[in-house]
Amino acid sequence: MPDLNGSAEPLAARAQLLGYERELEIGRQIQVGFLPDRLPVPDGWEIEVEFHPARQVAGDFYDAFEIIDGRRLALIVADVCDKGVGAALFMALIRTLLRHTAEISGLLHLPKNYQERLLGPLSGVPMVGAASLLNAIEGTNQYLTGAHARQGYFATVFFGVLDPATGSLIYVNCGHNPPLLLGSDGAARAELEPTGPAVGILPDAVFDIGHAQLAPGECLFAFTDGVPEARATSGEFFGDERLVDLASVPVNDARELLDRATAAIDDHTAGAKQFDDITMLAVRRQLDAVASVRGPTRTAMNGV
Amino acid sequence: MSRIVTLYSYRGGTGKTTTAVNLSRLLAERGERVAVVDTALQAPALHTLFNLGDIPEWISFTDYLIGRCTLEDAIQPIELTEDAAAAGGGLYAVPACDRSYKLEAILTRGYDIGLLHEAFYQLIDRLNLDTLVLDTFPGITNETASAVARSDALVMMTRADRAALVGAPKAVDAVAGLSRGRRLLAVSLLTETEIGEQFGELLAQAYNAPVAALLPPAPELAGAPAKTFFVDAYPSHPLTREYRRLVDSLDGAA
Repeated sequence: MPDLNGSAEPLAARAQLLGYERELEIGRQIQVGFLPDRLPVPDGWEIEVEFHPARQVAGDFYDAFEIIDGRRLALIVADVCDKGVGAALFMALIRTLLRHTAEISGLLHLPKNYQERLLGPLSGVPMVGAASLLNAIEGTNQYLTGAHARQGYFATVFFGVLDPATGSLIYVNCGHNPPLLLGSDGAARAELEPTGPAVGILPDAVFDIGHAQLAPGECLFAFTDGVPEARATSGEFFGDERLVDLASVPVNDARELLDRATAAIDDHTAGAKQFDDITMLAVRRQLDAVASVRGPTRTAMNGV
Repeated sequence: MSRIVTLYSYRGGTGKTTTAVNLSRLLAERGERVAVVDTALQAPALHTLFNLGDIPEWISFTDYLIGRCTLEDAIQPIELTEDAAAAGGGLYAVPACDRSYKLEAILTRGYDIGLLHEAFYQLIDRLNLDTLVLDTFPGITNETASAVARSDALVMMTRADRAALVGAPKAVDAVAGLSRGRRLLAVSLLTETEIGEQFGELLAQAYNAPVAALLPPAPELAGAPAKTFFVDAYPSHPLTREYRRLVDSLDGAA
């Protein structure tokens, strides 16, 4: 009698594998829903994004949404530690907590020591949006370190609040790769350094607020570590220097900047397997922008 | 150099709004460009004292904070006498709103606290102000704290009674400590009789601020106004004299 059981095993295993792949594909599709399908683009600005997970599901995420009755634009680029399904699950959690808290946060729940932090420092910089920003970051940090301390997941986060009428940007950088501030000549004129630890590590961590000013023609370029850590087949990293270099030639628009960055990364990695999620966000203030009256923004489809 | 003058009191009914309105009138008369903002969102009175009757219902400082109008929308120019206008003076009011459904939005949803600070400086900038006067709700509220924190001169108002000497000074000090400006004390008297020098000194000590004005009672304030400004209607009244004294003290303070 032929051993029918023997030949059934590889088939069963393969069916199971196909099942897992299907689940992952479903996970990927659902995860796309956790990213904005439209980016709110204020008049006089360009916002472009590149998002390339290393596997089917990603630990990176980005977000862009209006707060304070449309007067401010929240911008997030973040990277959950690790990769794959675990990171993807925490991506969904962290993304939701940050956005939901920032959107509903009002005067009724002010951050700790708000008098000192919001009424004092960076004098001359209106801190509109700072309460939402701090509540979102600190609230999420408290939640993760409280409810999920055992799993130990954390995320590096860059969370900025932009005033499209003036180009004023307040931000918190939680252990994330410093975004570059590109001048209108293209050169990187500043790096927005960390202002606090990664989110989900230290209970009761305090996060400071930084400030930058985008003049017409200038661009905020934020990314995750998948960019500088993109590896060539030789194992060599893309590196921070190449990043700064590629930004040093002026661009006509944000799309051009990201296309150039993508081309440079592809060139460097040249077919090597992508090791880490890659996310890039470019927010550029147009040169001939007229100061906009605060009001509804037009929306643009992103490229995901 | 522009300045922010904040009127503050721990208890209600000390005469902040009346003082704010008449103070601003006297400053404009001297050729200053002045705006008065009602930050007492919980119990606004500025629009009443400025006799602002026909403002559209979607416009006010409150509406600006909850995103229903722009700051520019909320600015109400106040008519000045020819003399004041000729001297280069300008007067503007930014009243809050007394319609209850709007207050509900403030109470339940709130607004970004940074908008207060931004509004103060945008008003100074856009109206080219010499002085921004901030009227506040008594005690400790977020709006009051912001207004006090931004002040270049803090006019603390109090009645001349026992409560003013006991308990109130500590509470006032906690809020006044937010201000980096100089403090002045204005005392609202209950009777015509002068308060003793000793009591005046006690008050100055308790509040750690010189007494810049002793405001006598004025029953005329209760009646229907002949003119918007008491100082216009009763130029020789002792209260008007004390308001002028307060303006002069402000020059020393900020």
